[in-house]
Amino acid sequence: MLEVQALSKAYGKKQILKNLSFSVKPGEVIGLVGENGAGKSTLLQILATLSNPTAGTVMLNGESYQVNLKKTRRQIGFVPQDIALWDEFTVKENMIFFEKLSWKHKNGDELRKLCYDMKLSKWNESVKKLSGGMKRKLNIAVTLIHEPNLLLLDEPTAGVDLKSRKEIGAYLSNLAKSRGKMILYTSHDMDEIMQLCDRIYCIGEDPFYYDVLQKYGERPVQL
Amino acid sequence: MKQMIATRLMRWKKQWVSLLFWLLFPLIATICVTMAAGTLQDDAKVPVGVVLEEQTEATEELVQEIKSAPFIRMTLLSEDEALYDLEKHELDSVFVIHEGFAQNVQQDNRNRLITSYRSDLSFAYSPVKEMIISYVQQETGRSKTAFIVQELDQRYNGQENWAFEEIVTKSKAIQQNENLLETDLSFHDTSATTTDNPRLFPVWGLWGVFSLLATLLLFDWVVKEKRSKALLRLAFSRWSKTSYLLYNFVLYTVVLFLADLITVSIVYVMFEEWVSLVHLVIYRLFISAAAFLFAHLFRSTFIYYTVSFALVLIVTIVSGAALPTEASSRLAWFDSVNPLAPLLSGDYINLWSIAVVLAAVLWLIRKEHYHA
Ligand SMILES: Nc1ncnc2c1ncn2[C@@H]1O[C@H](COP(=O)(O)OP(=O)(O)OP(=O)(O)O)[C@@H](O)[C@H]1O
Ligand SMILES: [Mg+2]
Repeated sequence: MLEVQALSKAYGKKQILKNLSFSVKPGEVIGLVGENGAGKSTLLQILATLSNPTAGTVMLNGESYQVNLKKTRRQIGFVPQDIALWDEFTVKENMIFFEKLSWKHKNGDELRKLCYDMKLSKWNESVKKLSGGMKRKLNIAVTLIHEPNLLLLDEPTAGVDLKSRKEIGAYLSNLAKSRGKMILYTSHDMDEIMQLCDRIYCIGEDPFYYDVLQKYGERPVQL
Repeated sequence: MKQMIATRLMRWKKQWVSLLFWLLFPLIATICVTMAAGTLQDDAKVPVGVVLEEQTEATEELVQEIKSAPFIRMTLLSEDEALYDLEKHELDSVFVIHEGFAQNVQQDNRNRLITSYRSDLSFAYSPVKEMIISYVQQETGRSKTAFIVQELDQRYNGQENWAFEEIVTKSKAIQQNENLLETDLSFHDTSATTTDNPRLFPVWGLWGVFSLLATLLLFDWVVKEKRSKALLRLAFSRWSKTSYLLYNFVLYTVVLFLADLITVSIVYVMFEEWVSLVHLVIYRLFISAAAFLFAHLFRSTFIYYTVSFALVLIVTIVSGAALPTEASSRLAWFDSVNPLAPLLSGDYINLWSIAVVLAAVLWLIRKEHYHA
């Protein structure tokens, strides 16, 4: 379980996140929405331990982030907004490279299965030559090598076609439901958010999002 | 560590051509420049023909003496050939060493030892003539001494019976020792390896400059990988970014050092020039560390390459390490910051090394702070 309490973040005088409190239970998929610059990426980076909050606490499974950084990080998978892969490597080589640096050992078949499950079949194609959607899938697959309990994804479906979007969504949803993972992700696609998420958190005070979400008959939680 | 090596090998596999090229570049460039300079030097030498009418120890010595003059390229030929070549101006001058040379020298008979020919374009005639005269004087002097010693020995009924040969050998040995002493003194000042036949470019100076360039260019991985988003994943791996960078620094340094060892052996076999392994290790450590830290300052490989080339050029010119020995425009103050100093003179406690160590410490502290 992920618990966030009274979290704030400021860059200098610029207050980005104000006093956020929420929690995520195992098996839940949470969607984060908000206008550009609202602070979605900032929040995910704090939850991924890559950035420190100005105030507030974050607890994962009852343990504060500050206590044991290494141990906390072992349970976290972070899919950055940008593609974090070696361009000149093939899909296979990227998987093997990051497996070698990972805490979890996985053999070639297991790595391959991870890609296949996400409908990423071009095992020997170099990343340079992959389509944008394929790159996003691999970006997620690499993050899953060490089997994190908390999965944070920053716009994992940006620039991905409808079919791949469905495949990624189905995969994430299955991961949460069957393996009890906690998933937080951001997207600008409301349809996708509606279909996939158990709850929707809206960052910022832009009334636009509430209007849109209301039209979908959903009650967004304002953070 | 095993995993780290495996990941580095994966990266190297993708760029093995450029990796191999830059590892071998210092060696190959040093060999090419040294050999080209050797040919150039040979071409610039004055061709002199020598005709030997007798083959004795004395004539052999004289030939060696002429050969060792740095500005002369000597060839042995027959008198007819020699004069023909002289006429065609393919030879600068010709010296015929007559039969009975050795005996005449021994008997202090200085007439008609040598006949010399020159053309109106001759250039080396006088210096070679001087050289031969001085040799003849030295040898006749030696013979004279030997005779006097023998005479004295006989007159005073000495117990020891000195043989003529013995005295000559002894006198040569004394001369040799004195020469050595002289050379030792001059070594002390120049502190560079000098051989009988000085090279246009000092081999280790050349290699130092080339290896400096190659090291800087090979450490472009720091610029590339630090810029890459992929390293962000290290936060969720067994290694921190600091240890990842450090391990790879070690791997690169080890591979570069292996290439250095190969270089030392090949250069020794080809040019008989040796460099202290201790100096080499220290030099390697410092330039690797410097390149590693220096690369941290850049985000663009293009700018990094440009600055690297410029720096190496400056070091080459200001240190004078790889420039023709005579044209040494070396600035003394630069010695204390010269990255080549540990290699060439073994001076490794200077401003340069202190700066590298300081930068390394700062780097470690800063990184640790970041991870806290
Ligand atoms: N390192 C930083 N220093 C200063 N300000 C920053 C920094 N990083 C982000 N910001 C600011 O914080 C705000 C939130 O940025 P963030 O990237 O979290 O927004 P976002 O909700 O992810 O937007 P988008 O939908 O465009 O991805 C922005 O106004 C941005 O300018
Ligand atoms: Mg963002």
